[in-house]
Amino acid sequence: MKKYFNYLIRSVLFLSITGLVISCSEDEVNPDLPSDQEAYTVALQVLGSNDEAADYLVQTETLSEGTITSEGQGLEQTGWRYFAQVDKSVFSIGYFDDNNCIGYQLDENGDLVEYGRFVFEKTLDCMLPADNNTLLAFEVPRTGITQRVLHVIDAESVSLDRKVETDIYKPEGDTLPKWPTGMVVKGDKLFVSFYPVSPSGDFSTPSVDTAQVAVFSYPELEFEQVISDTRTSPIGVYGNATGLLEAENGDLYTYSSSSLAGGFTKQTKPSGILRIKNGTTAFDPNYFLNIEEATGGGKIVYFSYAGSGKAVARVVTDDSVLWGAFSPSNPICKLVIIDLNAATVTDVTDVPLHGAQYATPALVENGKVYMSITTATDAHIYEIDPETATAVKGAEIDGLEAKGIFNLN
Amino acid sequence: MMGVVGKKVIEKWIAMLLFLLCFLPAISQNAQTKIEGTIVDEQNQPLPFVSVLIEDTQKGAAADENGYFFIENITPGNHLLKASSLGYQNETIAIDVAAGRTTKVSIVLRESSVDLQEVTVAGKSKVRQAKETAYAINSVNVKSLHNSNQDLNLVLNKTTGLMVREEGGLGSGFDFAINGLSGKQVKFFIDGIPLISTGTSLTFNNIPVNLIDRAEVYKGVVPVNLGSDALGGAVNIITKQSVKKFFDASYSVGSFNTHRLALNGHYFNEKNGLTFNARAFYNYSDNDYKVEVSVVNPETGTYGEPEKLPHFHDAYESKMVQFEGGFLQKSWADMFLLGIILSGNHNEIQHGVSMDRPYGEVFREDDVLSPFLKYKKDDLGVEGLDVKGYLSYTDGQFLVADTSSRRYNWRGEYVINNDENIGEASWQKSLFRFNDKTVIGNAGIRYQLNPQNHIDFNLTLSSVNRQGSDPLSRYETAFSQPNTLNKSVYGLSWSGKFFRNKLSTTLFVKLYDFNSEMSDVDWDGERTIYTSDYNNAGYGTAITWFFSKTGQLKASLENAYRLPEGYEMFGDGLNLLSNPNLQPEKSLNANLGFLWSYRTGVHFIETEGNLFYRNAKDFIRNQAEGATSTYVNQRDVLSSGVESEVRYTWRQNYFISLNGTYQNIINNTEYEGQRKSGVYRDRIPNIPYLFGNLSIGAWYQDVFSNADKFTWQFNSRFVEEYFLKWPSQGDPENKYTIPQQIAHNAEVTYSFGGGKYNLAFECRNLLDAKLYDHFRLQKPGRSFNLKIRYYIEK
Repeated sequence: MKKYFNYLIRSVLFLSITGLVISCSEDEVNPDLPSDQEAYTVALQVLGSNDEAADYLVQTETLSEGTITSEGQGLEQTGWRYFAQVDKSVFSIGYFDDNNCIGYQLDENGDLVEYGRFVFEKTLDCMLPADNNTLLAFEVPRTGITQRVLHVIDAESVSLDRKVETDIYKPEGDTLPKWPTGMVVKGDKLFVSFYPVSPSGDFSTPSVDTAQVAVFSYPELEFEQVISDTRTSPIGVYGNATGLLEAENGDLYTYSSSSLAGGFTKQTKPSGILRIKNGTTAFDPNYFLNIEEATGGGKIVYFSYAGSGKAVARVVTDDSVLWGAFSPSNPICKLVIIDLNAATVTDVTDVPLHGAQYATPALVENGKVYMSITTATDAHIYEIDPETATAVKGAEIDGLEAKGIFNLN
Repeated sequence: MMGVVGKKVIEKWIAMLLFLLCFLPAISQNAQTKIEGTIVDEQNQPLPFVSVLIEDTQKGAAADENGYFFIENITPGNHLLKASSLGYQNETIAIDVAAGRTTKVSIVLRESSVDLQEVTVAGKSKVRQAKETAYAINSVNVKSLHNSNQDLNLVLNKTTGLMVREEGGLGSGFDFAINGLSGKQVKFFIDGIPLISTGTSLTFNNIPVNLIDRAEVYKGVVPVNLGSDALGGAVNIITKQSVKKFFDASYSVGSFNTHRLALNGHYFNEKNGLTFNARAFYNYSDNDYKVEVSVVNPETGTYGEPEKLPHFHDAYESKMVQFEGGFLQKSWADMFLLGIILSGNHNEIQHGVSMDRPYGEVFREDDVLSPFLKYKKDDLGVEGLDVKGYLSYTDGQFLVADTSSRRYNWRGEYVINNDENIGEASWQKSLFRFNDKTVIGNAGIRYQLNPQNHIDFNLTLSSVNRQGSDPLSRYETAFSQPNTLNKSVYGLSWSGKFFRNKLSTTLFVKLYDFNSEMSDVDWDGERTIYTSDYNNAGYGTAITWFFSKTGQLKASLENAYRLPEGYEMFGDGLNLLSNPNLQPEKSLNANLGFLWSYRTGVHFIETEGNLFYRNAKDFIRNQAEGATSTYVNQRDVLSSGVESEVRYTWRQNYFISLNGTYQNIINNTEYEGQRKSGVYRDRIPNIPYLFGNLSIGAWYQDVFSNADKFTWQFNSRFVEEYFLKWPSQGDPENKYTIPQQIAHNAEVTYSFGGGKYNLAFECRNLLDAKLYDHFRLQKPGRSFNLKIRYYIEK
């Protein structure tokens, strides 16, 4: 017995001498952020690859000068995110494995804070506001002839209001699923631009002869009709919800890229812009702006409304590489101003050749358009004057690109 | 359809077979003669791990934990046999060894206050021998853990510089890092044979410790006999080899309905040299540990209140059987074995990289069949010419099944998704299966020029053919066009000893030859055949100096490569595009370390330390391009750090050991493309940088009866909090982190009947801490395990 006692004593002694420490982890600290009057919120993507790449929501006083950086500041995101604005809220939407959407608003101190989040099933694409409290987004399966799911998101509660399954457009015998590229709610109608894509999942585009827009009732979201035009190719590009825009007078404009760099594996029609006149649900047969003729062979891969009948657009000058317009560091795009009424195109020569990107942001304020321009060597916000087709280089972006530029005040 | 590449490969294989055949018929004359015995102290207690050496031939062995040793293949005649052990006086006895007989001896060692041990490698335990090589190495004696319930990952994770990050419970995915380099940059071997195409059915989180004798982890600098493109290091596990017959059976049962069975048997007939080995294991766990999660409302997508819910779809089952048979100690071969491995597993997947999307029916299955041949012969024809080789074929079938329309929540409830094409984890339901067929051949020659110098030549050829299929898919499947990848690694090294063996050095060169072929059908139906063929030459050196009888300095250096995998270079035939210009990853690896021990009276201190430096370039990363992606050479990484361990033993049966690793792994990419990087020199995120382990334990003999043994051990692991994303970016108060981890494990074992019957009781995560190796992926809470083991040998 004495032997066991000795073992016990020695063990206890040994344990105490070695001073085994079982420590506890400290509590999370969450002090208030410093507050200042920072009008703008910019979503920045930091350089990096795989899981290292991260997005940050950074507040800044000005877009015109200095450097917009996430170094030591900004709200970190868990991965590559889409960003969308609804009224005074900005939504950060994760991609596939990061399947949640977070809503941010400014608090009384003017600091950006999370005010809600929800989970979605796979991935949301093509997100656009329908009104001041509603965000629309599509879940788009990558393979197969499967239905797309239109998500109606309540911005105030940051939650799903309802989900509507739709083919977008599927006539008898059509084997190609449709990829949505833009949405506009006008009165009791929702216009959805799209392009047909192979069901195989390789994103090839076997059918590129027609531009089409589907019309749904709103808010019921029931399919009504599709309108078609064979003067140009399908509308919009992958990864940008910019296929459709609405002018002040209620006219809708669409762009068709017909571009290899924009992800279309076949091109049979010229790149161009079509119009749907206010109050109608048909393409205006008297309007077609042939971008290739107007720009000497260029192809439009992005446009955004700048006000007063003008749009800012990106035109690919080198259409030789598939998906070439999705690399910010591949400088093949020029910036142009399109006078939609006059159907004319003017180069913005102050902006260098640059790369295009997914989810291209543009903020329109006081008649000026603010855009993120990434060249092979740097990235800046440019302040573009659509009236004069001039631009001023503004703040430097300390990162790959800006994915969102918002004023949430 | 055989291109130039194919022809070259066949030529290489023929050359290799000829090489092996040349050596098979060679015959030399060596009678079957051996010594065996036991070593005890003055109290007649067995002394473990004593070195025994035949002085004139330098042949040696180490006694096992019961003081038993044997030395084989001895020239008949008179010899001096020396036994030595730290803390004991050397004892030399004269023996007369008769040809073809086993000579039995018994040696008694007396305690000594003066350590008279000579600095010599032969005669030390294998683990000690490995540690004393010039390489930076963690050599782990797994044999002493045979009664324990720990698996190999847990054991290795406790050593310096290593970080094994697990996603969950038994059988979960893991990432094994050596000094910050991980994934495919680290290569794994079993008995020197690379683990290629064995999938997850035969890996470090399911091989029971009972089957393993020891594990050697080479950090950054890898000797030529492990022929591989190991950029960051290599792990070689050595299975239990013995000339004695033994049978080892263990079964453990534990929390989460975990059952583990391991069998290991060995037969050897001394008369005709016939030998058989059988190894088998079976693992099962429900892994239904509880995690803190929120159930998501399927209508609104919003989170409910956090609650503790079990994993409901995480069961894991794996099994392996290995048979080998052949001859040992024949005139024509020291070892000639033919064998086969059959292994398989079934692994339910609970979630992907986010716990926001639980799965209820996704699973993976691996099935591997691998016949092999091993050959070894020392002093082949010429004294000092040792050859060995192996040839193995592996057929691996790997299935990922995602076929359910149900969408589960964390309570295990589900709703049916209206679209019957979409799976739980992927965009399309799939029964994706890929098949890897791998042939690996190796030949190694060592020629001992004289007792101080030897030359090694090693050649490893591997050829992997991958093909994928998916019966559910109506469209093109990944890898539906087979791709072939051939790698050859040639190594040549010279090792020499100087200054009465106080200095030893190795210089080596490695030549990597890569060629690959893949056909790809693009969206136009156009078929392209891609081939790639290039060479790279690596080199390295390792040097060590014994500055005292118990102290040693080491330095090693290697210019290492990691060749691309087939899919990295050629894509998967779907949205992963090819990049025929992809270059190998390369790294300049350097280590500077020491080993030192000191004994005074009942106190014994062992310590080791290592400084490491890895200048790695051209890491292969995936880059998105539109809806597709491609692998590119991007990211240079500079990793440097220090790792150290101190172990104190008191009265030989109480020990405490403490180790720590600090690694500063920084982004060394100044420009990304032509863009000056804002995160240049920033620490690479999502990799732990400070971690350590504390072990404390004791053993007692003859506690309740004669020849019994009781041990207890307590282990704590610490990992400092680290950032998920670049440390310099974002508001420091609002950054995502993987929190600081402190985990404690405790284990007691009791063996009786002279090691025949063994019991172990283990508790992991004693304080039920919330543990994470990955961002927001919770690991199991507190668990208990009971293991019983039966072992006999003769």
